[in-house]
Amino acid sequence: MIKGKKIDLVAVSMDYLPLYRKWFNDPEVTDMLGDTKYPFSEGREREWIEQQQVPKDDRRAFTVVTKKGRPIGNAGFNEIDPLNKYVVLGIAIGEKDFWNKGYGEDTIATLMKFAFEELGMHKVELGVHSTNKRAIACYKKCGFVLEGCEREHDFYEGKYIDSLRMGILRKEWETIYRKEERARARK
Amino acid sequence: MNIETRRMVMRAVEPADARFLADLINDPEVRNILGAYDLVFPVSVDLESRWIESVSKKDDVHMIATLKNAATPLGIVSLKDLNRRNGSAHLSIILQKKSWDKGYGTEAVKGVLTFLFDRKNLHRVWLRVAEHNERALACYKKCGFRIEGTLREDHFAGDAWQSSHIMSILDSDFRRKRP
Repeated sequence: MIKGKKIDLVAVSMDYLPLYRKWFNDPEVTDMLGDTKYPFSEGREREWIEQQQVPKDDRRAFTVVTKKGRPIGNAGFNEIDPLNKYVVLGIAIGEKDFWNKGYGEDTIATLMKFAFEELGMHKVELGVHSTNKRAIACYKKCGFVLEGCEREHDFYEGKYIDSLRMGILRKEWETIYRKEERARARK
Repeated sequence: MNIETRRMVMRAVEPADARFLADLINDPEVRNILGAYDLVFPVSVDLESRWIESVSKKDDVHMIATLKNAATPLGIVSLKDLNRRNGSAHLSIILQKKSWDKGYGTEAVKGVLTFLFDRKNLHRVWLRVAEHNERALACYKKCGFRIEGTLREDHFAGDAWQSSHIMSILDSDFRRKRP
């Protein structure tokens, strides 16, 4: 288990199968992900969970569970590059009651901390639809910097839209993190 | 993800849908208008279960159309022969008789077309319809499909040789006149 402030990250499990199905078949939830899939059957979802049980070093998914024990979504590293030392984050909060309440933000912060402190990464990055203002605001708040715009990169709602690349370097993260620590110490 | 329209949701077919599917295609009236090539004898629930099991291993997409508020199944919507390179799919839809003439077919087809063209970036969606299935023909035309050819006497039913039409809609048709 990876501990955050409001959430913990736990292993993907068959116990959550009905929840995964609900989240990833919900158009409002999947709308923001870069990829549109056909409806998921229980069997397909089961296959995905089984695949996750085989440890893989180049990507890893977790389930986001609140401190009260409520599973609310999935998040993880879509890509782990041990040579260039970067990870690409992915996140989907499937329980919509938990949107706009800081759970996504804490999930990102927790993944970042883990990537830098436990995986020894140099950089954390992600891609986001240019139309997804809510996510972009959240990533900025977490310290991500806009790095580039992949022009007309994703097909969405009948047209090609830009995809933004955002990233945060270890030194930037350390500055933010140290500031937070000092603020905590002052309290 | 599920495909949602105003009144309906299209979700993946599950093993528990076997009875519904058997009842659906055992209805002689439903069967009559399908012009199916290989549906002659009654099917058992067990056979449908096997079918569901077998299609779950293939790339075809089979979805149950349900009502949003009640989750009652209304019919099946399928996408076969999905060809990525050519961006094409073969659509088929079967609704139970008591859900006919309520606009569900049109709503489902329009919803699926919006998903396929706006989200999956397909180029062409096509289907085959029995020439005497006027209800279906009217629905498909309303959704923007046009007849592009006729398969002469391609199936035998009701003591006669019958023909089918092939209809299609391209992404450009869809964007010109959004259903």
